[in-house]
Amino acid sequence: MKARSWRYAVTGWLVLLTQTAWSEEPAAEFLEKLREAGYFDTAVEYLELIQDSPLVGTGFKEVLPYERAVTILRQAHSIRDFAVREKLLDSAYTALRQFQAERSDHPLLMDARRESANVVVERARIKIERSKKPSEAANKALLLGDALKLFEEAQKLFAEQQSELKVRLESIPKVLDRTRDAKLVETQTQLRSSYLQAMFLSAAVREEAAQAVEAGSEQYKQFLNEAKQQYEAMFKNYRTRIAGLKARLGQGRCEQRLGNFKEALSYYLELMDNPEDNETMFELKVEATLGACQCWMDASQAKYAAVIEKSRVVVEKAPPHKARDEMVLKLRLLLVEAAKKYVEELKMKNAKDPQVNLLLADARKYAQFVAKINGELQKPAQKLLGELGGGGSVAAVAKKKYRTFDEAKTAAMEAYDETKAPKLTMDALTEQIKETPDAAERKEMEKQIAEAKTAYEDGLNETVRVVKNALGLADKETAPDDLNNLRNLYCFLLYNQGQYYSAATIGEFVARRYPDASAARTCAKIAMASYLKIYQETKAESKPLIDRFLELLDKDNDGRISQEEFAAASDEIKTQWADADVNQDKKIDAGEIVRALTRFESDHIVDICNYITLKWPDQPEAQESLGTLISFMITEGQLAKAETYLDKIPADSPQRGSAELRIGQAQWSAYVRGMQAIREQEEAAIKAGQDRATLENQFRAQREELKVVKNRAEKTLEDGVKRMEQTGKIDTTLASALLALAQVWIDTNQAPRAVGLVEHPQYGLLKLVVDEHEAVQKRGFREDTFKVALRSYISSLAAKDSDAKSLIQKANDIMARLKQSIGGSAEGQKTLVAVYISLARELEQQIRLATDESRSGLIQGFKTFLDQVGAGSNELNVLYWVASTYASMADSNPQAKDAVEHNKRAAETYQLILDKGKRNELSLDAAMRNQIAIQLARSKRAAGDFDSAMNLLKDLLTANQGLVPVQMEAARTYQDWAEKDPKKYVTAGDGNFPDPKTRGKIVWGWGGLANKVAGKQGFHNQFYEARYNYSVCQYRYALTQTDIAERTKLLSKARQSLRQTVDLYPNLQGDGTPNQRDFTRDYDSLLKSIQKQLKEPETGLAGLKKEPPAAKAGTPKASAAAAGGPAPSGNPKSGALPGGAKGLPGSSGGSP
Amino acid sequence: MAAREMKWGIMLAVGGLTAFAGPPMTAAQDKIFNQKNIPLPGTVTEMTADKVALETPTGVRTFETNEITRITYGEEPREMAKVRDNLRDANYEAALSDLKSLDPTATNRELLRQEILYLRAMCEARIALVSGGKREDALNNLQNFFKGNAGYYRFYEGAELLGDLASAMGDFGQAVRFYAALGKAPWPDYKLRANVLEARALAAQSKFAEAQERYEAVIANPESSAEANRQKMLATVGKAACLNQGGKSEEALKILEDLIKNNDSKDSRLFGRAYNALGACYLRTKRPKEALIQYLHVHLMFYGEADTHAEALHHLIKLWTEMQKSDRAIEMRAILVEQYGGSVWAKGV
Repeated sequence: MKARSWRYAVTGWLVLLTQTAWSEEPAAEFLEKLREAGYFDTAVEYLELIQDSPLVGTGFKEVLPYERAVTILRQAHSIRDFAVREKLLDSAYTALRQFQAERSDHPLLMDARRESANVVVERARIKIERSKKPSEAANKALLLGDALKLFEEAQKLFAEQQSELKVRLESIPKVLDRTRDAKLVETQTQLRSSYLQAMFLSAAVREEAAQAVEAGSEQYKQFLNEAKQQYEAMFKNYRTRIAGLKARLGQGRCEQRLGNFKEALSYYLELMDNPEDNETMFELKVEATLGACQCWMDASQAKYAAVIEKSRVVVEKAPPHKARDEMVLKLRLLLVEAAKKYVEELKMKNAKDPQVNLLLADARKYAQFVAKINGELQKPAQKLLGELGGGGSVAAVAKKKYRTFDEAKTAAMEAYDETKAPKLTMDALTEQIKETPDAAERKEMEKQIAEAKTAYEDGLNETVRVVKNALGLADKETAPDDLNNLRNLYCFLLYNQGQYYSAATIGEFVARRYPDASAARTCAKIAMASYLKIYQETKAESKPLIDRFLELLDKDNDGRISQEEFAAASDEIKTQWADADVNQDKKIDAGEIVRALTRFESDHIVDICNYITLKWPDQPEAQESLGTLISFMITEGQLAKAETYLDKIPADSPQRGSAELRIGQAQWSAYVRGMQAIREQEEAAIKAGQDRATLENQFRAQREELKVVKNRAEKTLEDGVKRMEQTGKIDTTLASALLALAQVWIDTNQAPRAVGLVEHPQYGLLKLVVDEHEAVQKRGFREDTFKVALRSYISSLAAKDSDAKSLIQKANDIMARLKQSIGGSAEGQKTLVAVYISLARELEQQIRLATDESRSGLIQGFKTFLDQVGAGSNELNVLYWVASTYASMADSNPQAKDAVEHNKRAAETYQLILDKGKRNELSLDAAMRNQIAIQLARSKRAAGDFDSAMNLLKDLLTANQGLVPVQMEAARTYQDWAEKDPKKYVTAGDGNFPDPKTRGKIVWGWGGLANKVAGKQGFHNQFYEARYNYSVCQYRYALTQTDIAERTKLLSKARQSLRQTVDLYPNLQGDGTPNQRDFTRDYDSLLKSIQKQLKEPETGLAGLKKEPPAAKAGTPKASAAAAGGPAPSGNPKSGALPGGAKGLPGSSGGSP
Repeated sequence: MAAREMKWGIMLAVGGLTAFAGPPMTAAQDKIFNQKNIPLPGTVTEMTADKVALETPTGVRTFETNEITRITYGEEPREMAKVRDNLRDANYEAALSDLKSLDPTATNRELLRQEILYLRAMCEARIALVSGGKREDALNNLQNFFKGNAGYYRFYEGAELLGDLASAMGDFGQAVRFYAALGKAPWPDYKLRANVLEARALAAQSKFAEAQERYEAVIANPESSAEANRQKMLATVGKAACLNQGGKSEEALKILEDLIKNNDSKDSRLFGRAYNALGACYLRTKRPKEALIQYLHVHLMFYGEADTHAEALHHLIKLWTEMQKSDRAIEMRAILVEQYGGSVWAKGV
């Protein structure tokens, strides 16, 4: 550990003053040993531990705060990191003040006060050092301002001390007996010493404060003049003492800095001629000589010979243990510079002056001496050496063989510096070329970029070579800090070269083994960045692998690997992916596969991020790591973990806002997915016959959990947006979060707030989209923004005191923009319709999720809007959207009182579209027309207008019987009709409207439809649905029979037809073709219901498997092939089933 | 190992006054140096493990061997002075190197021959204790020396050294027997020291109850000389260590704290052991920070005794590692391996 020299040195006198009797633990000595060993942190802990120790006397315990402060001060000297140093100094200052407050009568009080003032000065120094760094250029004025304030504060403290000490000294009698008044004499001596120190330091602070203002300014001169005066006063009174001589030196410095070289030289020479010869005087003389030489080196003096003469004397006479002192080294370099200049002067007079070579040889010698010593002067010395002709170019230096670590390290730094120029060139040209239209110029620039890139890469390679050389030369004597700084550079280079594994290894090594090193944090950051890169690379490379895995294992092509499919995997894969199913849904999806493949990388990322946050919790790196961890956890689907990390980011951290936004979005997505899953389960359950009330109870707990997630999402997003507002920064994260938050507010009945986000003057979503801000360039963002805007306006209609007219106008504007955005092409129209349909679904969902009290208002709001929109529009898209929305509103709660009303409105609008189409007021192609007709029929059916619905459908089918969706709708219509007129069950099953041309029926019914599509590719869903509904109709019709025997007979038939379907076409789940629905549950549930009515054991489909196959009426050969095998294709009659021509009992074969 | 099976008790019984031939009084004189390092010239005429007789111009004076720090012989070669200087500085390797250059058979003086042979064996033993190499050889050599020279005045020093060697090799049973020989010395403080050493060896075998008994016997001994008191203090530390191992850590802590309070920290050996014992107490009561501080006391201030320092380093390595100060752990490990590579504490670090 190298001690940093500083003028306000902490003295080690404490050991003497607090030497303990041997009735106690030797605490002071132990403490000093800990400090000497560099165990400052342990020393501080020791001081805390001994507060209650019976082994330590009260005398020492009284000074614990002081000791703590001194320890921390010493620690601060050993740290190069500014932020850490400042923090330590703050801590030391607090401890010193505490001591002064608690021990105002302690003998150490004055020392504590002096140290307090020294802390302040040290803090000012740090500010000045920082202000010189290029990275702090923007803060330079602020830093210097702060430094000035600190100097003022320190000055005040020293002045106070001075006054107090003066009073105390004056209270002691001037004449004292050395024996009798021994104690008083000692006190007087101590006070005098403290007084002188305070006086001196007061002047020194004034002098140093000049660094914090502009050189040459009035304030600068004022400070130096004041310091000069203080020094002068001190010298006058104490000229024979060291303190007085030091004051003289201070006078010299002040004059020098004021440019008064003559006066400065007079003081310096006076000191240089002082006959006293001890170590303190030597140091004084060195400094005086240095000052004098600097004055002589000034262009106004140019007395190079004097510099050479005087500095040589000092340098040659320096005792060995002083030869490497900073001042002496500086003197050497000044000598070298003077020699260079003097040589030029001599050459001008006589080119062959023999002194030239001698001087140069000497200068080289002096420069070489400094060049070998690690420190701030090494580089300038090497540069001078080069200029003298002994150093060579950087490249030559880089290719050299090095014998010491210091040499090699310097060469490595120089080699790295050489890479900066080509990098800058590369970056600058890359930007410039974007704005260069001229092809020839671009070609030339591309050539230059390529050259710069080569130079840069070569430079990096060379630097790496030298770095490795240097690392190999390190030995036990090499300072750990120097070694680690070099490793830091190495790590950085490797990262830049894309060698991420190596960079991560070295970075982590330094960070973990040397956590207190100045390079530790940077190394940790590079390690983290390296692991992230490796993760990204592995993830990208894994895509073909995932595709291959899915191809091999995903038999049902649902993009996921089920447990059954996983069982077929190789042992190696089973081992590797044993824990891949993170979300425990019994399927492994692509995301989970990626996680399994990137486990090494993700574990290391989490590990290093955790280490950084634990090791340096108060540093910016900790917060950056937390931000990285959060993103990572979100990607991995571990939202709960991401939230715990969020709590660790301080509220005022710049990372906090964006982390909140990311988590908020993830929480909202989780909420939406969760609600979606519940809805799907509810729908399936309803279809299976469960009632809504039971389902409400069943899913209540899950809904409550999701509500908590939703509330968290809202809060997190809100907090994040507020924080980002303060930064003024608009990026993709903020834009996405605004969108998410608006959706949250819409769905939580806070639509007016969502409007605020949409319309915000600075970062409103609409503004960003209109301005084509780079933050909203993501594909689909525009459309999503318009959708959210529309929903927010529509939903706001439900709010109290809403300005309906204005809101509707805004909504209309948005719809116009949507249309403009997507375009007027035919394709664009379809896209627009799709957007409207999805919007309608979102509205439907919103209504479903709404609370009871808000739902009616919401619906009313929508209706108002829809009416307005529909009435004022002649556009297909708009009208279609209005009709769809009404239909969705009805579907969202079919049992609601206004469901019929909504269906009627939907029907009216669809009809309007068709009518306008007929009148050519709207352009409707056949497909669109049919689609709308189906929708119309559906709405009529839902509204209970079955006749009209059937007429519509019949017209469509008359034109084309093969329209399967229409056939299904027709059957469905009869089925719903049957609830009022049970005989319609038969019609639903057997069809209606005989067709003399085909000898079939225009409306096939479920039975006819099933026969038509049986075994046909792409009609799996339709077939099974038709057969299912056929059996449902049989079942329900049976239940309407009052005669038990008849009912039983019909029930048996229902069971039989179900059984036959299953026997002949057992592939209820599908054959692996995408989008094939699994009908197993429906069939099973229906069968059980039938069995229940027949008072048979409710074994469902499972029971069927044990029974012999059903009688195959009309199916002589196909059954054997069909049973257990895939559905036969191509020949619908091969698997002909009951129904169709024969029909259900009571079927007349004609129209009802 | 046959030699080691020899009973030390029997050896002592057969050891007795051994007559030596010596040069006339007018030749260069022998010198006996006492505890104050004051030499008394004369001729050594008799020597046993307990006493040495010196013929002086004023008559024969008999010294108890516990009063003697060293004996120089009139006819010893010049190199012996350098050997003794190296021994004084504990520079055993340099001393051994010089001793090996001397031929013990070249002298007629039996005492001088014994001195050279003993010092060689002793140096080898001391080196082996620290470096860990050839301990068995060193033990055998030293044991063999005493087989043929049971009346040598450094018998008890040798017995203690043998016990230390045996302990270092992990053969604590044998160590107890060697220490027991030390306990046969006629002086109470030697007996006490032997008891303390035996107790340490017993504790090393985890026979804490037995060890504690021995320690308590030492503590209760009425002897009150400075050395006796010192041994009592060491026994107190030992007792505390046994209490700690028996689960009575708080009681042990109190004993150790009182000891530190009431004794001079200049006694590096005592304080080193006391702080190690404190460290062990804090480890047992799961207070690693406090434990670290105690061991650091040993490493930074009371590192004079090799085994004590090695023990402290051993624990410091683990504690620093737990506290994620791996650079400091590495530093401790380097010191332990470099300086005490042969110690049991260096194993497995």
